[in-house]
Amino acid sequence: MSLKRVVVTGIGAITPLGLSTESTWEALLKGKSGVGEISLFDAKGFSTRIAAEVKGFDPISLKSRYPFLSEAMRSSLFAIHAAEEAMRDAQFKTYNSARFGIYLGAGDSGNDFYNVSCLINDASPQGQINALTYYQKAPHYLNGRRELELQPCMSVAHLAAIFNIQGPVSSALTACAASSQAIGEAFEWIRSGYADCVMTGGSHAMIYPMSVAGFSLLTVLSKRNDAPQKASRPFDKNRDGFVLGEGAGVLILEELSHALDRNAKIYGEIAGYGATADAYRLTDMDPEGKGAQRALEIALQKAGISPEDIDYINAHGTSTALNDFTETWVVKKIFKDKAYKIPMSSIKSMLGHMIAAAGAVEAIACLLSLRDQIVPPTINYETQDPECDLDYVPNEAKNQKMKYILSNSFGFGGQNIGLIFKRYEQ
Amino acid sequence: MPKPRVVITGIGVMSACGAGRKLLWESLLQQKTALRLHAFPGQTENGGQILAGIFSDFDPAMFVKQRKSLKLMSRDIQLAIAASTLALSDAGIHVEHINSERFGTLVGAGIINNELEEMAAGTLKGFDEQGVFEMERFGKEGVKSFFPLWFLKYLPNMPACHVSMAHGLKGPSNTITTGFSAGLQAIGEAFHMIQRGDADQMLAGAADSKTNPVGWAQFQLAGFAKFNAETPLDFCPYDEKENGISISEAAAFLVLESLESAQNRKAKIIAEVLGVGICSETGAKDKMKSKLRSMNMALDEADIVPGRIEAFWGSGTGIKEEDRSEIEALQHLFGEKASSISFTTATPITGHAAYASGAIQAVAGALSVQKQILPPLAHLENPAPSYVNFVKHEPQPLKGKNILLHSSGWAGQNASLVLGELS
Repeated sequence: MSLKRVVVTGIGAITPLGLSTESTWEALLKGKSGVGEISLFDAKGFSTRIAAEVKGFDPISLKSRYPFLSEAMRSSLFAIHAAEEAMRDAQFKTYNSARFGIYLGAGDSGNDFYNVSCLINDASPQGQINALTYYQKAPHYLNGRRELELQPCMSVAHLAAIFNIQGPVSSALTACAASSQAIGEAFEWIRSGYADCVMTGGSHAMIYPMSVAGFSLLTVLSKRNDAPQKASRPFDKNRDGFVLGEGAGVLILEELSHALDRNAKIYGEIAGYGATADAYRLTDMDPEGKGAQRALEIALQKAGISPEDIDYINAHGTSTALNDFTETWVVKKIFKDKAYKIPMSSIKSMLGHMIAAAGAVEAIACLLSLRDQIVPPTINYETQDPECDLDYVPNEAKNQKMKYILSNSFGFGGQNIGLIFKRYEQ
Repeated sequence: MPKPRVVITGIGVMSACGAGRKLLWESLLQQKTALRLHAFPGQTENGGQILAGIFSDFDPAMFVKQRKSLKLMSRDIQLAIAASTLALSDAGIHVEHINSERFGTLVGAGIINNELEEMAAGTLKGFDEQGVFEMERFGKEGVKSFFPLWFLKYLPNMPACHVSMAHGLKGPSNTITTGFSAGLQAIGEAFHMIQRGDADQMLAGAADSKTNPVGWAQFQLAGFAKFNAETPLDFCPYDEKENGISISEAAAFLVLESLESAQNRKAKIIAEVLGVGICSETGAKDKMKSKLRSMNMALDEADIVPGRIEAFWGSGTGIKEEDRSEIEALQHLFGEKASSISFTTATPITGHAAYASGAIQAVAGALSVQKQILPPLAHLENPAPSYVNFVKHEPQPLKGKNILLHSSGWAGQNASLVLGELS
């Protein structure tokens, strides 16, 4: 059985730069930063007090339309908001629910922090936590519906209900690589005939006290608190860590003939997907980037193209020293001399690191780059790092003729994903 | 080109029944439950007891050589490493000899629970003398009181990362989450990865330990955990008086590989994976139908008519509406033949292992195919629907080749898997 072709026919986004795809895209091309002081909780005491928050999002309209979302987490609400845009954009008159699937990148929503803290305090009469008291008093502080909503699979559960999606459903939970992995797996579902359409992408809202605490302890966050908009600076010599972002990106993937039959608008084609594990070390990428290199090579192979065919690379580009160095190294190993001629930018410089939503919004940016033949910049690129000497599209968007784009995603714990997007041609 | 066939060649399981497949299988055949009434940690007098399956004798140091690494692993991760190690050894695989780039990892997961003491260390520092929580105080004093690498113990993709690192598996790695069906779904998705040629061999399964105060509180709040039990017999899925889950901890992994890879290395073949179905319910009214959908998807992919299914392994949640709607779905699927399908589950013996429950079920199901025996459904006195052919009291021979497994619970997601004897 021959493999099917997979195209993208709908996109939706909610990001620190806008509540829709087009507003986000416009800001990305202008090189705007979505980073600012944390407002979602009082971060005064924290070593990192900045993040890229989604601003102006009002969940009330969603919640009034869908009462079962009353206790839903921010990440689920983001997913639904972006999915609604993507479904409007795809303009289905009708669809076969049984052949429609969902594969989303998802992540931890933490715990019900304030209430859990008060419960712990109440259960620690002499400063020593008592398990039985914790258990007995839990119902006074916490609620069951919220406990369910905290499960990372709830975004897809809600989406299935809202859009009556009856085909295969899954969520990838692979941290920073999650939504790229979800897109890749959704691509495979359609390629192999397991579904005709798949809603994919990812959502994540990780700007909460326990996560800022956790990442701070791992010393991976930027502490440039006095200049938030300058904090996320991938590939720049003076980078000092990543900036947490949040939001969602949703894409509607569709089997080509299915899309053509209904005259759908086509953003582009997904041509390749590669996934590997470093099996190296918990927090670090393998400095030689062998796993990352293999993931990208597998993606090229599946797309049936060679490195010379790639016109632009959408980088993982987190703004941590190790990632930026290793990613540059890997690109040089694959593309050799041509590496210096392929523009490679990181939109995390503007959006921060949206963790399980990062790859999805990057995928959307790749598709819009193909549509508009323009590459978004890496902002805050001021000082060249001798180890990072490629064309990172510094500070200003640039026009570029593109047919194939490679998008890189590397997750904490050594999960590597490569995705290849292709300009649609008959 | 036909898709490669995929077989199970190794089983590794850590459960409250003990380490390894042998102890699990004996417990199932002899109806020897691992559920016990446990007192709360730190409890002094009458504080109520909890019916749970805890693997008290688990010694992680047997599986993780470096003490330093152990400190970075939550219990879920430790159990995952142990079970995956056993699975490889059961499959006769020495990691020095594998093609590591063609060997992948797929883990079903949920949230890993924080240890209460560890969480308290930081959060309590956020309270002032009057017992008022101040975020600024927490930021300044609390954060630095956590174990510096505490975050790494609990990130939900860590079990897969540790498993791939422990054995040097460099092929595709994924962690998926879909409610209690995650373990079964992970096995199904690993099957697809081999089928489409992305890997020759995969370790797939799940690990979960919710038998801790945070977990007990969670399940109490969710409203389906069973804590007023007096005896293990009170956990009785599919019985008239079923009224909730008894949680246990477990990890279970299978080695899946392409038939060609298995034959090349002359591996013993436990069972063949034939089809998987996964879907979500689209609302409360869809509970039965979504279960039916996942079963139909699995049979379609396996290209098998319902009449060729001999036995059914159910979720066995003990949650009335889940278990009843599962049986209803079965009745729709098999029609008149529903009462001739042998029906069993492992949970009364192992306890319900939450996010790992589907993986335990897959292990038990695969063993039943290999041994051609169906263990009885324990703790069943008055079967709720009397027309179902529950395997009661004694093990039964499994006559046909194919079995169907279904897993669901919490969050409305379903996974079904068809396993068969290799023909």
